[in-house]
Amino acid sequence: MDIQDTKNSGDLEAYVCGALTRQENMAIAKLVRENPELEEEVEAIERAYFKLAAGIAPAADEIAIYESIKGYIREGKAKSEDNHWSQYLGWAAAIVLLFGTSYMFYQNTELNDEMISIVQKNQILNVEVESLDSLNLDYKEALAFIKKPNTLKINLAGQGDHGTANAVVFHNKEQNITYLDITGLPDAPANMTYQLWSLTLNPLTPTNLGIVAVDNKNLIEFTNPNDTEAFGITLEEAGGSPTPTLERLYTLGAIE
Amino acid sequence: MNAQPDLLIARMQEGSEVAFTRIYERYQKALHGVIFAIVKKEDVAQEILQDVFIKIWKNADTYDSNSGRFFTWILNIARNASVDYLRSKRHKNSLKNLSSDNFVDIIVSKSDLDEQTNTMFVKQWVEKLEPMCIKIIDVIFFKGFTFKDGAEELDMPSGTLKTRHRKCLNSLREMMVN
Repeated sequence: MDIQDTKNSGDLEAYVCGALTRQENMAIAKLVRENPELEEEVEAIERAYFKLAAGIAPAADEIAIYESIKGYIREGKAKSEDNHWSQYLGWAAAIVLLFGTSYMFYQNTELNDEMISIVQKNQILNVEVESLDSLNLDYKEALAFIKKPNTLKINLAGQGDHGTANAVVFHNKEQNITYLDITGLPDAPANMTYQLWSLTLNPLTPTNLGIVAVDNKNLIEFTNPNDTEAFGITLEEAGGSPTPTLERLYTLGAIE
Repeated sequence: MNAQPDLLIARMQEGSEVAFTRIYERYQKALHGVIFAIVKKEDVAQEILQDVFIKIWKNADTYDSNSGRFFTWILNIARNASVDYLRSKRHKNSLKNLSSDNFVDIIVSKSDLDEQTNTMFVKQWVEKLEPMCIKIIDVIFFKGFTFKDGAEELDMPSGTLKTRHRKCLNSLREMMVN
């Protein structure tokens, strides 16, 4: 359809009057938008109707009518501002809720993490408590052993170059148990270990009681079924030695 | 009246009261005429005119220039408000009888013709129009019938109605130019 056909069709008049179907209206609106000549024609049609309608209008106080309209508009504006306010409030609440929820989620995650770490810490502490309990039990046992009337206390004095070293042995002949307190011994060098010997003096015969294990205990229990007359501590290669290295005899003490 | 005041319309859509005032000044008389042609009572027409402009202001953002003329949009608001009034008041003229009298009757019945230059011209033009043209313009323009409903009302095929509508308006336009 060319421009003249469109003009003659009556569609443009119908378009201005709003008498077209929605689809037809969209099609004509597009044509008019794209074609200045059609737009001009539409405006001429509109002008004619406009004049006709205006000519029919009764005389009226235009300003008074407008003032009245303005009153409504201002009132409505105030109301709609209220609405805006409440709309914003709604949005604000939504945003607060969103951030709140996010924050709670974050907090919850953090708390969960914290709880996991606390549970882990608790497990570690439980292990520590257990080990302290067992240590405590060991000390209790040692104390009970030491307090026995037939338990002997033997001071082992520092020997030769190791004059400042000392150790204490608690020995109970009936129980065949010996406790060694190594608090007075210097730390063993790397790859070396202290070894405790049971000695009989005539002839001098050393019997291995065991190496002094490196742990947090200062009071170490040994089984000692020997007829011990004296105790000696030597420093040996890690793992211990079948016979004592007398050059590295640190402490020595005889049962009186 | 010149081309559609797109800028004013856009400003009004953004909430400019000044733009709305200009729109009112520009269109109030034509809408008043359309409303009056339907309700035929001056006091009622004034009330409806107020309501129509309040609606235009409130719904300004729903007007889309891509889907039609602003004039057509406000024309529909004015017609609908007028028809709603007739319905709500259970006006003795039912919608079916809307076309029993037309805009010409109003012009003729007006007493203050001499003071209304516009109206005088319109009267002259209308008097020269064919009676069928008056009916067609009344139904299609003032009362806002679709061509389908208008064709039923005037008892003619809708295609014929469309082309005759154009011829009638062309006659009117020629008279207006002269």
